[in-house]
Amino acid sequence: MDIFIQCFSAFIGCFGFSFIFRIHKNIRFAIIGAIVGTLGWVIYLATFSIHNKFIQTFIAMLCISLLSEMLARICKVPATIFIIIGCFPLVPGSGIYYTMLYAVQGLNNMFIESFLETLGISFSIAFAILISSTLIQVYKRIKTKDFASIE
Amino acid sequence: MNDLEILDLINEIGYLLLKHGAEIYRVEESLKRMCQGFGFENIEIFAIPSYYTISLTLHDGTPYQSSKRSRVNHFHLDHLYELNCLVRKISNQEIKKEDIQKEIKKIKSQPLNLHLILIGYIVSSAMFCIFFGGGIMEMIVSGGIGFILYYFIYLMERLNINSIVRTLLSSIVLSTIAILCHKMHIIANQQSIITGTLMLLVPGIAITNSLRDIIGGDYVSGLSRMIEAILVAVSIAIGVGIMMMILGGA
Repeated sequence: MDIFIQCFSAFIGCFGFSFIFRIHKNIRFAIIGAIVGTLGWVIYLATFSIHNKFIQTFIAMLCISLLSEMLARICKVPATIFIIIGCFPLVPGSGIYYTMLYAVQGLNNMFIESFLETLGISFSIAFAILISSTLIQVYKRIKTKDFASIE
Repeated sequence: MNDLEILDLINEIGYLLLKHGAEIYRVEESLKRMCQGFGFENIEIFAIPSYYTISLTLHDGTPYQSSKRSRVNHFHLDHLYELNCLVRKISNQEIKKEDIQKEIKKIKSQPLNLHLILIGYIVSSAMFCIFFGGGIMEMIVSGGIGFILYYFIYLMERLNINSIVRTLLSSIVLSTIAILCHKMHIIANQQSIITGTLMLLVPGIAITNSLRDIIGGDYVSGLSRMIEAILVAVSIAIGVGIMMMILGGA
């Protein structure tokens, strides 16, 4: 039940963010983006058995961005639209909070631990986007047989 | 329609793309494709997040050079989609030259629906509060914080305050309200509210876009966006930290 509530709130939350980023007319993109974001969170929860937040985030973000790129090809829109909306459930907002909380309370060990965790999650998100964009680029090159020349 | 009028329209499209938060490689590629669609030669384009320059040779052999500056960039995904469609039509030459002007006018004349943005602030802060484990009371309070933050950010955008100070002040406001509500025993779970409303300020998009720029080989724009993202994240943390220190929340 908890998981259901989380996924539902992630969906509506992402949908709300699409209003902030000014998707006011093409609501279907907002819905697709929110579904992508929710799926990302489901994947994050489904890979719980790994017990490693970084790898979980990496896999989820990789799925989000690959899915976004595919949907972007189908709907003929820039892939950023879906990635921007879909990445929100994975962004380490609570990491920032706990880092500051421990810093203020003077719990230095906990502070460094949560600081490194926040940084690590950000890096996993970044790395996932890096990998997926490169994969898509390579796929495009192979499909159009447009290989770069080596000089 | 002569060459210069067409180039004016192309410049307008490039400016709008840059202003509404397209990635740098998209701006460069769109401009290049449109110019190629009209058969110009020696096209060179360089763009960074707040500026681009374009130089080419006209049909009669005269060199042409122009540049555009866009200081304040705002995400507007609706426009990004419409501009993308327009660029595709122009580069495939599926659109008459006279219609381009009409299309641009149509895109520019759409009024901004501020009410929907306000709803977005309220809904997303309330829902992300639940996402981070809040209850009904927490949801209502964080929806209220979203409402206040919208007007606070709106005011600061009108005053043209830079994004780092804006984020710092916003995070101070949101953590003040959350901690005070916790002190007055309105809410039990202060963490869910602060993290939920922080999502409105977190620079997830800036990080995403900066990485996509870096992958495209635009290290200058990628780094400048990355630095912006890091500074914004640090200012969020400082704002929350200051208020926790002053009000002694935990």
